[in-house]
Amino acid sequence: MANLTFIVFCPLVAALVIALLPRTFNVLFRLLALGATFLSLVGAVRVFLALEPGAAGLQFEQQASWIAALGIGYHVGVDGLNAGLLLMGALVAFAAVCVSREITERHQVYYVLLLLMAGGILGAFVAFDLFLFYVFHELALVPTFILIGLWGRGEDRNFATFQITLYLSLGALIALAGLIALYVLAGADTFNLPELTRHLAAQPLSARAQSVIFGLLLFGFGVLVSLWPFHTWAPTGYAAAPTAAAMLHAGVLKKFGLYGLIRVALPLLPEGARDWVNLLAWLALGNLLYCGLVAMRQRDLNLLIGNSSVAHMGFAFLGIASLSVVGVTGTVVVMIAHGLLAALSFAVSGYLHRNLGTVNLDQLGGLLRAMPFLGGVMVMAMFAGCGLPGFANFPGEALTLFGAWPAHRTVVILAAWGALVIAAVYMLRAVRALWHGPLPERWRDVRDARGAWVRLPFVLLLGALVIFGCAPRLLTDQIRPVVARLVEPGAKVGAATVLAEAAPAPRFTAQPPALPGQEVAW
Amino acid sequence: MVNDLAVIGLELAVVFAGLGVLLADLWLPAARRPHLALVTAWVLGLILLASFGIEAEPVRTAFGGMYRLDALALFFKRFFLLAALLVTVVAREFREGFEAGHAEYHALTCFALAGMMLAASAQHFALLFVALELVTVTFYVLVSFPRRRVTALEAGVKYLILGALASAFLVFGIALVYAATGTLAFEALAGRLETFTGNRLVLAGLLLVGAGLGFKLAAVPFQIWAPDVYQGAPFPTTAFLSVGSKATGVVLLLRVLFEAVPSLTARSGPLLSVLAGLTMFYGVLGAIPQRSLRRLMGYSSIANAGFLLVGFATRSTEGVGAVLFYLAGYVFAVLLVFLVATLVWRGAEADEIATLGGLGRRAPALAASLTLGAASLAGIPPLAGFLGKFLLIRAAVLGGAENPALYWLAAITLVAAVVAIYYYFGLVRAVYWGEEAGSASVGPVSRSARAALVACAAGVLGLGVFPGPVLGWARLAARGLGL
Amino acid sequence: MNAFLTWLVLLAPAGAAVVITLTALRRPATAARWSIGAILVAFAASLVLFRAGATGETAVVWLDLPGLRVDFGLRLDPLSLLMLLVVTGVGSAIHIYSWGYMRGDPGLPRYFAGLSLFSFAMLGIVLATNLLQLFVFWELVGVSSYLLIGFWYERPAAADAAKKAFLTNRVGDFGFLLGIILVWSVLGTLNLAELSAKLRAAPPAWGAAATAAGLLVFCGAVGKSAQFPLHVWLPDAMEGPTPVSALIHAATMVAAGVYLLCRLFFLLNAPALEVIAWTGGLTALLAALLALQQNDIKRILAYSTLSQLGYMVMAVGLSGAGGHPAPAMYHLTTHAFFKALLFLAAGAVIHALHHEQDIWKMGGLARKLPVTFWTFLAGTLALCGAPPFSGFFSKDTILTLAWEREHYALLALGVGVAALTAFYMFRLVLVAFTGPAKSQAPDHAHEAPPVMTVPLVALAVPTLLAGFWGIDRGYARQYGAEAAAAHGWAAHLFEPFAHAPMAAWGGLLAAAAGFVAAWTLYRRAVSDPLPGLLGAPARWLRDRLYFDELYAALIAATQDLLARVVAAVDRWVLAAGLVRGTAGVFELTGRLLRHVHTGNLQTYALLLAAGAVVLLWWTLAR
Repeated sequence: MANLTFIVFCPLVAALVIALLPRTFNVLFRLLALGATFLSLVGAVRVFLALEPGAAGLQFEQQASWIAALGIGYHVGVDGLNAGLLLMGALVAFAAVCVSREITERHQVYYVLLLLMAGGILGAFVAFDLFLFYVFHELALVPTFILIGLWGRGEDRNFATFQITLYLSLGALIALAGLIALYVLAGADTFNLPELTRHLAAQPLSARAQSVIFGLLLFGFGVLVSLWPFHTWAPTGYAAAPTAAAMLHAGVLKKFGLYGLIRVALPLLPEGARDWVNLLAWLALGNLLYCGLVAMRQRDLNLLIGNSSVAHMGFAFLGIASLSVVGVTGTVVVMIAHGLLAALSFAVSGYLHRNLGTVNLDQLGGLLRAMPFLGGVMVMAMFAGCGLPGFANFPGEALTLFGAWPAHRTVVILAAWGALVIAAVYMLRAVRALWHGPLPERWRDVRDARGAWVRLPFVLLLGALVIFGCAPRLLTDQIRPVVARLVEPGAKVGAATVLAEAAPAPRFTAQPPALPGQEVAW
Repeated sequence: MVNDLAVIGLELAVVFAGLGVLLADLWLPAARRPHLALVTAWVLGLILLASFGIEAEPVRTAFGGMYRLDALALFFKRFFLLAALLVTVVAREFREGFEAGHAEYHALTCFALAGMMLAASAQHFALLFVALELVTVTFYVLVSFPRRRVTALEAGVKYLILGALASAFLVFGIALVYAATGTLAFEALAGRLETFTGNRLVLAGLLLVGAGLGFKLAAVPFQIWAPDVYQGAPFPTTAFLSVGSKATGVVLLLRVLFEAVPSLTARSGPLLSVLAGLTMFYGVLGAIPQRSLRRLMGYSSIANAGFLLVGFATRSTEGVGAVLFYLAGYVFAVLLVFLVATLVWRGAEADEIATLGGLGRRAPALAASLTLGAASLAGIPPLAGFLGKFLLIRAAVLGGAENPALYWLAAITLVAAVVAIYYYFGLVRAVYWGEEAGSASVGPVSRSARAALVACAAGVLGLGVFPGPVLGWARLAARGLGL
Repeated sequence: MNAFLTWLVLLAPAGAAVVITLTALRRPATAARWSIGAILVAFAASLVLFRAGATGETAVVWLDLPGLRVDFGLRLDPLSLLMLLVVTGVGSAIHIYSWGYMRGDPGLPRYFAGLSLFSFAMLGIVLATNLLQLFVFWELVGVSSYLLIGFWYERPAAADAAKKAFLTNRVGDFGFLLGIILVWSVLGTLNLAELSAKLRAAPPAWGAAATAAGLLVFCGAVGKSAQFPLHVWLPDAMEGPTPVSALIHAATMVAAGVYLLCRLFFLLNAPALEVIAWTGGLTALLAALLALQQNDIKRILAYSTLSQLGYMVMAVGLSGAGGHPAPAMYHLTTHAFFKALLFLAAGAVIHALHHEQDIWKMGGLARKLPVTFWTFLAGTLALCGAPPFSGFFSKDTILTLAWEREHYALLALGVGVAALTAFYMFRLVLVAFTGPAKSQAPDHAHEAPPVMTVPLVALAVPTLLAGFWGIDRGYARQYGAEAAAAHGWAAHLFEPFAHAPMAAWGGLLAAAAGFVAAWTLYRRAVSDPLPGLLGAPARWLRDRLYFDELYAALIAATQDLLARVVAAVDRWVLAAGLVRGTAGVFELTGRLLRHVHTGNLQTYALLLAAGAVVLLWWTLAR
């Protein structure tokens, strides 16, 4: 089952099957969805375990021609960079299906959309054709909008849906423009990433073109990842989204943009990257500090988690802005860790919303007495969220800070404040307001999550967070060699520039430098 | 002469089909007349099939070079046949809206179709004008077909008068060109054009011709009629207007710009880009506050004219290929929307989007089809509309290397595409989570409508996922222009 | 074998925490057995290791990236061995005591899980080989402290105190983390042994970052050890169960800051040490002053802890160039014994009085709770530095250090604090244990069960005798300085007076003065006479010099205000203005466009013609 096409298409085929079944087979829909995502999960685990870290090139690679006229093909594969993301995505997808028991109407459409989303997400992370990469992302994105619109909650859901749709469409289109520009200007007439990489390594684009395209990709992908100040769609969108959609989007789909930056923009546009990283570092600070401060003011748990999720993206951007192996590796770890964490947080919040009817912090309190399991999970999630060791977030965030230090000192100092203090402030405030204090009479009879099946998604997500938190090398040893290859061009450019600047200006009397290939004879 | 007739066999077949429908209407008992729609559809389908038996190579001409059967012409002829076929199915579902004269409607569809197919092959301003007038005049009737509906009549009158104005521009333009150059044949004109460089008379004439074609296309500044007429016309006519009539403008504009006056087009500066941008924005912005589906589609039609113009503005084979592919996807998406709309509202006059509320619950399959159509129009992957926009933007970026203004055009296209998502999304929103509007369930969907729905959905999806063959035809056709 | 035992020391409590969390959350007895068993195993293993004098390092690689290698390792040397004994030894006593003290609480398994987690984290700090690993366990200690302070989470005060403790610690950790990053970026490694070797080989490798890095690392210590200005969380932390206060907020966790400074002593240069010394001195004085007017038995002990931590930090700072911070560790160790004892005894009192903590509602407890009283008295004497109790020796080494460094200001400060210490501690003893009962509460008090009194007695032994065990020599060995061994216990007892008489006599006389003052004022007092004597300053002291209010205002004026502004900006400028605004502009334009479409045919015709004219003009007229 360690077959990428199988992993990706399992949910998609299940979606098709569900769509063709009669409308009333609700139980079967759920079983199919569970089965499909479970199979994907098993496949992803096997791929993750079977991966050879450090091996050059892609593994489990599969290719087929598709739109040959445009240089578009079906091409999937994994290496150290996306194996962890694939695993995380499959895990979150399975968990999202697990928590979908809260759906009470229109099961068929729901599961079709959810499975499309899952398949699209998994596909986007293994695609090595830029067009396929983009199409898979959109395949996951569009169902998100409909899921939010149809099963969303809250008064603001119409505007939230509208906003998220437009914002993300804009982001996706800008990124697409960047990808098209890259494809066109490279002149290799292919969207195949490895080929494009080889081609551009031999004939890099001009510095100006690189800069412009990197800018397009940065802001296009950035909008998708809620880069400050293009983040306002995220908290409201997640607050309005049904649990599973929020889990999948905030957890996994959002990482697409970061993945694109690392996989495509950094290695193909090394010079462009250097033009933008300083700005990016400051924008990342916008995420970390600004959104952290905004999170401090939230009284709705969902908005708080949403803002904190936006804030955490700051680490990921900061790691990218570092352009160092340490920082970018940290970014990937953050992506995986935050994926698990965001899914976990939204799962808890969704459970609360369903059982309490509200997640307004002012109306809740003391729930740890009534819901010890869920409370324990949530407290741990909050710990993970403020970057405590023992959870996967810590190594990721620490690595981004370490990696970014040489290049962006001021930003790192302020970011550390955001990470250590501001995150702790809002996380602990939430714990205090939600779980601590006396239990109000009206919540006396609230039911905790009981039964293995109800607890399974929480346990899985939390378990993964803890495992990767305690043994981050499971991830970093896979990620490091790939990242080293990806940021290498940038490092070379940087080194070359430094050398050029450091070298003394040629003297008039000096011998003219020999051109390459030219015989020098005296 | 016989050879000539053989070359225009497809058009002849269509004309005979139209005449046949008229005659059959006379002879058939009243009860069976509604079946004429199916017969028409079948016949058009057969002709469409037959068209695939025709080779584009070698290029054949007729009537002394006025008519040319090349890959481009063939592409458009198939396109028009498909559109008319689907429109006929829509018209069949819309029959309650016509008080009488179903057969006439189908016959007129065939005649308009013949005009479009002729236009696709035009190599001469005379044929251009005749074909175009055939289309336009037929449409005057098609627009105001529900005779007792004031809205339809009003729309008909507006279309008639404004159309006449546009035709006047066209004719005047043709006259000016002739007066200046002494020829009306495209090839000859192209050959002589160099000697008329800077001749304002030629330029003015061509601009007026462009105005006439721009009217068909519903491009700024000749877009003003579209929303009103679209809204007033019956559903099948609106669909035909937004697909067939527009494509007629497209093919003629292609022929004129790139075959009749290629050197002039090459020097036209940013004119096309500016018009493309204005048209896109006019369309997408105007569509936002609309509440009537047909009016919305009217603005959307303007916006799509803008998107198509992007391909023109690139003045490249890639751009034209993108235009053709875009149109191919466009026909399926638009017909999908109009089919669903007709099935929901039947022959009714009103088409408030708000009344679609709860369709997702009442008729999930229709709702899904509408969503598919709207999504394709909005340019969501992996649907045809996405690939069309993708190709257009790609062409613009490709052209940007020589003409940096095209980068800006690409950027503007992106923004317009996002705004377009905004209002199409409003449509989807109304369908799925709009307020429940009446519990009236949608009636049974006939087999032909179902087939058409499946075909359109398959087209929208298939062109997006497996665009290879159609893309190949489009590129082949575009290459014929010799850009 | 040694490596295995060391891993066992570290992982036994971790295992207990995991097992309890996963399986025994509903079975108090099982949970207690696991937790107590684990700490006893760790204690036994530590003893074996100590006996064997094991030293060395073992590590697994935790993170491996170019230029950044983080080990997860264990380091045994004299410093960590002694500290292991302190943590597991005192920890064992407190674990056992908890079993009696907490009996019947529904959250008992959670309590023991937290305690085991804490032990794990603390042992991790002790054994760490690497700065980031130190930080990891540093944070884990903070978490377990948070969980245990907030153990009775339904009490708002406890929940708030837990939050406050965590956040205050985080402020310190902010500096600590930056310090770690700075050290890494300058010296290129995080491994302690490598760092120290590098610095020894080439001190200039440091460059200008030395002071900054030293002070940033010190920030971590300031947070954990509750030094001024981050001292505010410790008194509030007394909301946790008393054994927790004994273990975490008296004996071990708060001492971790001092341990950290001693561990990273090689990183600290002279300017940094000067700052450290003054911070410690100031904290010692401030806390002693604040302790004067507290009435809650645990809070008095908490301020005394602060004050003693101040001594230790001051000692680190004083040990300056060429010296070594063994005195600080020495005092840390003896303080762990007697302060744990004091807290546990206070816990016995509280237990006996059904959670009455106000000393002005006690009185006459000496007769009712004899074991508690005598052990408490022993702790008090040790704390006040009365010979031959252990505290006398350790405090004396600190004062001696100040004397030898000729730092007379801090010496005077130390001596003054000694007097204050004796005063407030005897105030506590006299009011709570002697004199008349001041409320009904003491009437029904009974001595605690053996499970609680045995640990008290067990801790009383080192409280009395630890001064004779040569602990300071053990620590000195860590820094390669062999102190001369004393010749016999009597000689040892009088050695301070011979070695640095000014310091020894000063400390002793100051304590005596404090005792006399307390005796005069409180022997028969039923209410505090001090406010009457001092007036307003007494009230200021009781209100903790308004630090909490100041900080609350400061946070409200800065961070909260910023958050408010930013949230408003986000809501009204970004979300409403930019996003809704942009959408609004598009929508408005669309609506305006609608007015063009009047439906009037003439207008349309005009527009159409105008369009053609404009086009013509545009192309032809230019």
